[in-house]
Amino acid sequence: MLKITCPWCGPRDEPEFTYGGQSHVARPSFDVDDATWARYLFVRDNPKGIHFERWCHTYGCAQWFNVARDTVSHEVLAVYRMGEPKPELGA
Amino acid sequence: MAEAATAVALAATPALATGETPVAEGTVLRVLPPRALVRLQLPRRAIAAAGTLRIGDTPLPTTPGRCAGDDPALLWLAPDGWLLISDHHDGAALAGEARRACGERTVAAVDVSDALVGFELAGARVRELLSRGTGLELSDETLAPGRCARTRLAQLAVIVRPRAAERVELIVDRGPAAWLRDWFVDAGGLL
Repeated sequence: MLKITCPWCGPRDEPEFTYGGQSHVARPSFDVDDATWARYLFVRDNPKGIHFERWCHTYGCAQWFNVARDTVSHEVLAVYRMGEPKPELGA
Repeated sequence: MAEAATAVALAATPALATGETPVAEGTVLRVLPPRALVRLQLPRRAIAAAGTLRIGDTPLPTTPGRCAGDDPALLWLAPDGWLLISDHHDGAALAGEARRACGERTVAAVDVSDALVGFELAGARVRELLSRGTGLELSDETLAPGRCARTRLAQLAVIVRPRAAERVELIVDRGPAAWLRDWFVDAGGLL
């Protein structure tokens, strides 16, 4: 089980949270071709290592925030609020 | 009027009609009497000014997990959300007072007196019982009067509000409230 530190409520167990997929997925402009739009909708990173992802503290403050997690060790490397810049982390 | 309506709602939930349930040796769970409960939600752009707002004579707490005031008690639930509790106000009146306190801001102050049920868990085994259903830190520091937390307890979203060393208030949606009481009875039997 992950222990995730909510930026507002502090450390809580994983079952209090809802996973929301990859962070920082930028929507392309509406005039892009179908392939680009399909990549935006359906294709996500699947790294072995650092993954930036969204989580919501559903059973707590109900706020969305970002987590940088190592997909190998499951270590939570960074937690930051929506709108804050992506932290620089070693690969 | 809200009190009468809440009393009717409680009576309509037979499983909660009995006020006090022994759940473990020296530990009881009791249904708290009806009172005014108001959910206050501020828009994002008004959060920065939340600390300057006063409900009654009490400033809205802006520190996560903190309560302020006595009646009404103001519980921090989220950066933009609070629960207001009063034994002496009518729910609609308390919601009106919250709206007035927020002035010209567009806020949501909703009377949820009938939507939520309050329990009091009291006795020597309170922490043991809670630890069976939640991963919340239950140390003296975090489970102290003046603090509050919304957490997952017995698979439900529950607001935990410590009132004394061995006395904790729990606020839960009315629908699954009977389940929560039954869960404590089961958990107490396993201690």
